[in-house]
Amino acid sequence: MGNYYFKLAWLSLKKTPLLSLLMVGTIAIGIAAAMITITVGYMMGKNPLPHKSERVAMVHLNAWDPAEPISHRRNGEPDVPSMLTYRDTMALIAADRADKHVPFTNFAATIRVEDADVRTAQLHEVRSTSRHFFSVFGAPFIYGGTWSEEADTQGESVIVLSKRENDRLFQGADSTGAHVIVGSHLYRVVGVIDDWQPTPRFYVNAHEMYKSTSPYFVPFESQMRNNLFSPTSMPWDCWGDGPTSTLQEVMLSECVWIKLWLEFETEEQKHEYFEFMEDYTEEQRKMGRFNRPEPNRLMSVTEFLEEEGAVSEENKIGIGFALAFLFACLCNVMSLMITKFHGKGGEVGLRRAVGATKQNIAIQFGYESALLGFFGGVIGLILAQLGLSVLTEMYPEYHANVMTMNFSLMVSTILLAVGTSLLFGLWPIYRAVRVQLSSQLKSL
Amino acid sequence: MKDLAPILKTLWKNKTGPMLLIMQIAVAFTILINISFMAVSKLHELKVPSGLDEEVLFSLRTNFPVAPDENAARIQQDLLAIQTLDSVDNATAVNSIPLTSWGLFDSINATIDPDSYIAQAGTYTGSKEFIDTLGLEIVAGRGFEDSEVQIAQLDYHERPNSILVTQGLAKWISREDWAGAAGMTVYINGQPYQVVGVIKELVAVWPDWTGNERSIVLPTYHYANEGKLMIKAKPGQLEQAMEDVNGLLMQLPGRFVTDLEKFKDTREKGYKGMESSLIILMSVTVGLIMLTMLGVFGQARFTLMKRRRQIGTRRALGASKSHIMRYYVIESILVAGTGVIVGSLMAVLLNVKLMEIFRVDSVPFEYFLYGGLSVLVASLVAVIPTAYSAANISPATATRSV
Repeated sequence: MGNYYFKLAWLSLKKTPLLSLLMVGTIAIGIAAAMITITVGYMMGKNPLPHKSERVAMVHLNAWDPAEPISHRRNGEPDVPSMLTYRDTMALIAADRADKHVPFTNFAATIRVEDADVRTAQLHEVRSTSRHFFSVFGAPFIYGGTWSEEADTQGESVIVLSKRENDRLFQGADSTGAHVIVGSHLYRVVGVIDDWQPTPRFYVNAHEMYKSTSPYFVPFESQMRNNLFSPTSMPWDCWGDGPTSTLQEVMLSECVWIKLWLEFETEEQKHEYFEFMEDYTEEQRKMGRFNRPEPNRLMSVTEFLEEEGAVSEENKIGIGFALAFLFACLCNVMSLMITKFHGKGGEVGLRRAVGATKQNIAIQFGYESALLGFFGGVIGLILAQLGLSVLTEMYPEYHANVMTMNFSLMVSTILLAVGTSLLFGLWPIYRAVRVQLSSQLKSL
Repeated sequence: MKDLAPILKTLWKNKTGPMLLIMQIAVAFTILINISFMAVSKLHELKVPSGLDEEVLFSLRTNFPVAPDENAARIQQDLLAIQTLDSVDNATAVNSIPLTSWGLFDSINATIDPDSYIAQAGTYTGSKEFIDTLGLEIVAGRGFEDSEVQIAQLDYHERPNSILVTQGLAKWISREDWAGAAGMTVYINGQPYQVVGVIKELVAVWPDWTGNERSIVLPTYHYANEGKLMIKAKPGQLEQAMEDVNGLLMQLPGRFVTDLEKFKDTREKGYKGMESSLIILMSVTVGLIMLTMLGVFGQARFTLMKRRRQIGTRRALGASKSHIMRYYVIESILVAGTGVIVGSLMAVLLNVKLMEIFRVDSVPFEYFLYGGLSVLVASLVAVIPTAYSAANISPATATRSV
């Protein structure tokens, strides 16, 4: 029976090509606009660590100038630094109250293969962190693995490369054991990670969330030992009177410049950790630090994304606009459908007269609107892909991942198109089915 | 106007189609008004003058591969060497480069009490020649004297006590008379600073910050092992100067030079995202108008089918072609007009909501006027071909089957 209805629907669409084209085109444009904005919003707001987003949390300690807060949140309340001082980071790591600690900052350095010419060295951003970075944030290794615990505590000169850099420097070979020169220091390669781009890159602040991941990773302590310092490119913030011209001075200062993420085995432990942070703050207060009233924060991945506004208000409004646009398109399609089904009054009358029930007619027209929706969806999907590739060109600061539909989004596109055109077809179908038999047959 | 009554009656009898069209136009109009307003505001932001001598400026980031205690000497040596190049007019070290989204900001307070907060401002520091190199214009008070400007270690013991502010900030400090800001004292991080002069324009580092016309300049450049330089080339020698400076700096072993960029490119990169948003907003505006036209066209075209007989009858009874056309045109104006009125109400509601979120201004009245006019014109353009062909229906064919 289904085949028969499809055939009828197809024939009916072919009979009025201009009208069908108009309807399909309108659906396609509306769907494309809606799906482009939804894709960008969805990819930006996606939970990057679905299985443990509540067990991975970032420490915000309120070690800041008693005279003035570091900045203000969007709602006007005083904010707390999202980075830590070196001494607090070290104290929290030494206390060892979480399952895994991931402190990090970054620096820029020229990097080349050990025996390559000095002039081949390129300046790159290097992430300095702990060995747990990869397992906590889910970066997969293709060669080797992360560095050892000793490397973290001793600050050994070991390095992990991204696949892209490994392809460039070692032509994609297993480079573990080889050496590269970072600035003027010899580093041994211990691992290579696969192409890895969490979207959003949730562990940094909002304005960096959609940029590419760092191509190099070294132990945090090795940055300190080798005195690698990039005051003009790393994120940091200072107050007070201490000198901060060199890395050593920054380490001793009250400047905040290290982000600290933690992973816990259970959410319970996370709550206990917050208690511990309070105790730590209390202890520091006795020494005259932490003299601000705002509370500390221990923010899970989802809380941090929310606070940072990973999906900006602009995006949400964009989605709203696009959905309103789709609604306007569908109103247009609906009135076209009414015209179309009205014109088929004679056919309806005839079919009813030879025994078709009202349901049969409704199903027939239902198939027709579904078919319209399907074609609209397919063309809309193509238009959306075009639109997204144009957007990728237009916003080079966003990683292409943000502008890419995954499979479930593609399926949703078609479903949305079919679903909405069925929904907006209900009224035209109802009107068509109500047709008076006699009035139609008379004029045949 | 005697057509009005029958038109309204017909519309009312067959209300689904016109209602849908009204709804469609209303929604389209709502979006149209708000989006075009946002687009125009964006355009204004894009046109914010940087205040810099953009044609001859370029910037770079480099390191000073020497022992920490030689950093200051190295920077001064480098700057001197760059300034003596034939293709270079002037050079300065800066803490951050305008429109690159990396820099400092400070809260400006009127007294030592943080509750006397005035505004936030982007913070620049530079070595001697900062004002001249960037091509800034002092419009009140004075620039820095040589004795005030220093290269210092990044500790706040050697604190300057004079600052320059932009005119955009001066308006906040001294509300009645911005020029009066020169000579006033403001507090930053609990420390007093005297405003010695007002700069006409100097854009802050964040292109999308709505307050980016507010900047301050401190006369103390704090050095470290890395630094950013801005260099003014002699007119017409920008490319040459970039090459010369790069060559000069790279003579030192262990040196890197990166982000070597014309300021024109920096500006373009900084505003690229906003420019893209603007293009999107404008194309959506055009798309909406097209969609409205399509809707009106479709509606008119396909009701024409239904009305062939009615029109034929009217023509047979003596209605002229212009009567038929007038009927269609008035009908379309009625429908589009209702859509615009409903849409205006919705647009105002949406605008109030948007004002809460973005703190944008309310949409001025002209937008409704011109927006409404353009929707009416668009729907007329869409309906006229149909009205024309309707008028040409011959009474004979239309009434044949009666």
